[in-house]
Amino acid sequence: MTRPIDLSWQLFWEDIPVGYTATCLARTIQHADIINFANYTRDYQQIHVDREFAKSSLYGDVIMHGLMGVSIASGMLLRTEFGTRTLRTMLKCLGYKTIKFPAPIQVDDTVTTTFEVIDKSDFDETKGLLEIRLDAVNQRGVLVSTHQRTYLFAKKNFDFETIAERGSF
Amino acid sequence: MSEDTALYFERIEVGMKTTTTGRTITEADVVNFANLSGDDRPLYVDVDYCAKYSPTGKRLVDPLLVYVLYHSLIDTGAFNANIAKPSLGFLGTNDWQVHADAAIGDTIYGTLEITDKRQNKPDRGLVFLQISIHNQHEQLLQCGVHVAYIGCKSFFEKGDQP
Repeated sequence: MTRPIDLSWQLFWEDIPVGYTATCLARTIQHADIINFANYTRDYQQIHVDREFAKSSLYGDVIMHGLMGVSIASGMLLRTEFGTRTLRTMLKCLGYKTIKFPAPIQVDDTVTTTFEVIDKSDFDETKGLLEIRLDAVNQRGVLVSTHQRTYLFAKKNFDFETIAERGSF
Repeated sequence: MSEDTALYFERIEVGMKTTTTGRTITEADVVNFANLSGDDRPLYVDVDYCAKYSPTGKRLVDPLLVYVLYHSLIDTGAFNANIAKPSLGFLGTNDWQVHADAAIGDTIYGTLEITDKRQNKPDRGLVFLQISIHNQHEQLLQCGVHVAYIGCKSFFEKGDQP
């Protein structure tokens, strides 16, 4: 590849303090979102796809798959200034400490995700870890999902040019 | 009438375990997931970028994709279809760890074991499942604990549906 990468606007591990927070653009959940996820995962549990069944359930209507909410949060996070400015420096996700769904997400709910850097620690000479919590609330202010991700980030001295050669980040 | 084989809360035993069938991760899965989630960072979708800037020289598979795809296998485990019926919801995941990356072309499968159950109401309770996802080389890719909310038989006999 000859195309150079532009790191000038990127945020490195050192640039991101604990407490860094921002809100993603909101997204209104449509029935299509639920069906798309059901088709992707073949998770056709009645509470997700059978509206007649769901009418008499605890929730009164179908609910979105919890992991669809987590997936959407990934996409919305990417479309923030933070997401754009870490497109190269956010190297990988190492895990999820917790994922919780305190309330269901339903058709026509508008979900807004706010994220916050809640911890940071060293990984090695050239990389560091960031612990990010993402909270999603609906239009009534009810917390519908909260989860915590661990990301590996590049430090300022991280060598991008030989990643493939050395076979690791 | 067929026998009611649903695994209601009271029928679930700690120690029950099963293995799912396999699923090969294809390029289509990667593109579809990027479209589904909106997470289309270059490391997942830009072959040219990855030739130099990914550790494998190839596109990486989003760990969340692997986790989500595992859910497409759940029903193939020995007793999972029987858990689905009395399931009242998926409450969350604890301590999900990504140990290794999957690549396009890898085949994943899952193992799960019921490690704990706690009744929190007379007619329902929490069930904890230790989940592990492996690749075709039996290398551990991801693991963690699922928390499921499962109804007792009495919950479904009250007349009002779950």
